[in-house]
Amino acid sequence: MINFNNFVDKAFEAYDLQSNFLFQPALTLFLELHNFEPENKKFILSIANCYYNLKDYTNSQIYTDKVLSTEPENADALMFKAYIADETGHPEEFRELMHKIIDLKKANYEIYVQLAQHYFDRGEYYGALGLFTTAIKKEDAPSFSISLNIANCYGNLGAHGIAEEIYKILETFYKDNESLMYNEAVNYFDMGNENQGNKLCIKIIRNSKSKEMKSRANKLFEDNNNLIS
Amino acid sequence: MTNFEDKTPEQILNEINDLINNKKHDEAEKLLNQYLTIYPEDVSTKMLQGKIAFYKYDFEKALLKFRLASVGEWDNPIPIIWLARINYLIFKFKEALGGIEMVLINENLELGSEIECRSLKAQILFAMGKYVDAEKELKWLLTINPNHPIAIIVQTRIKRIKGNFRDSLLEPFIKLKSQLDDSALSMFYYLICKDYLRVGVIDSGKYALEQSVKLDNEFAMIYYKCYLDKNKEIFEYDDGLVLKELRKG
Repeated sequence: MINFNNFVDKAFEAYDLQSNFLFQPALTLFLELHNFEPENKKFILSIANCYYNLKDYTNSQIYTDKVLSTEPENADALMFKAYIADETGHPEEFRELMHKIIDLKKANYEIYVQLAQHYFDRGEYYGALGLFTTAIKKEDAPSFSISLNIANCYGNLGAHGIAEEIYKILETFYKDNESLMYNEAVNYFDMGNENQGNKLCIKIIRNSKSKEMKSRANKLFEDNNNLIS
Repeated sequence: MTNFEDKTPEQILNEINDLINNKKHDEAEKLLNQYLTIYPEDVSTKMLQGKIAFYKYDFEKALLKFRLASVGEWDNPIPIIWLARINYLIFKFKEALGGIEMVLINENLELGSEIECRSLKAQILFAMGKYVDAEKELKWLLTINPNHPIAIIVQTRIKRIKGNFRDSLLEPFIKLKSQLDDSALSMFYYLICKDYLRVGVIDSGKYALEQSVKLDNEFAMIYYKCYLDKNKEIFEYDDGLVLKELRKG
């Protein structure tokens, strides 16, 4: 039971459990904290987060809406609502909410990246490119993964030369990165440069310690050399 | 409301064009709408509408207007070149190349238009990764004008992709600087920054990179971010110019 004496300790314990992905016990504690301090938005959003991670989207939505009913521009609540929409098969709502966060100028690079990825996964590379390009300008944005995505967007839009130019920049800094080599190989095959594509595939197959990466490179190699495994 | 009484339609259209060239797109649009309440729509007004839409990044509207402007104007290369330029920017490379080929087929094409077409064609072929074909266009352009800025930039980008870093850019490029628009200038700074850094002239390299990032060159942005991640001791800015620009983004 939470009381004035143990309130702070319990709150720390709840956040600790949450950050260690122990969502069920964290939820129990956050619900108790919420009863003790019903107006605290952080607890309400933590409850929404726990429910979300436990895949109880109905309850997650209820707690998210509680915050939005008094703070319709709360970026964290809008973000949860967007995630729930995405998980429950409402991609249009997901986009609308993410764009709303951007329009409110409350988006960090992660919002841009998630929305960009959403477009990318649906083959909307032009929209994805714009968002990834904005994301990389944001402070603390990870340079490698976003740049790789920018290059991949260009490649998928048929701009293989521009994609190659970006892969080359990344090569300067992340020479033996397998993910980079793999994507670069895909681009080479797409632009008809089998020789370079094959070289990179072979390099991955020979040197990679990851079974999955070896297998992906192997498949790419086979697909582009008319080999049937 | 502008008083049109003492101006010919041609003067008004020139005024609108000047406003567009001075990046006063809202004013240009307002004046054009006012003009169209008195005078009928024609090829010139459709082109102006297309240009305004283009500079306002409304590419769909721009395409529509230039398409309308090109109807029945098959000997006029300008709307078709604009269509190609927009199609290139929205990654419709085949359509862009198709338009350019259509213009180039005209035997009476003026040299200026041919240079514009081939320059655009080289850029599109480069973007597609068709370097050999792009180089053919570049060769033609550089024969006509050895200092053609876009041709030199594209040629340099191809050389760099192919790993040819022997030819320093600094001297020929610095001569061209005044001829470049913002987009080309951003690429110019990006390319010379890499040259400076490669030869160890760090201050000039940093300056060029800053300029390129300021002009929103995405290659420079990627290069800068990676450089920052990997070489923090070289790019120690605290509250430097580049970081300020990045924060604005």
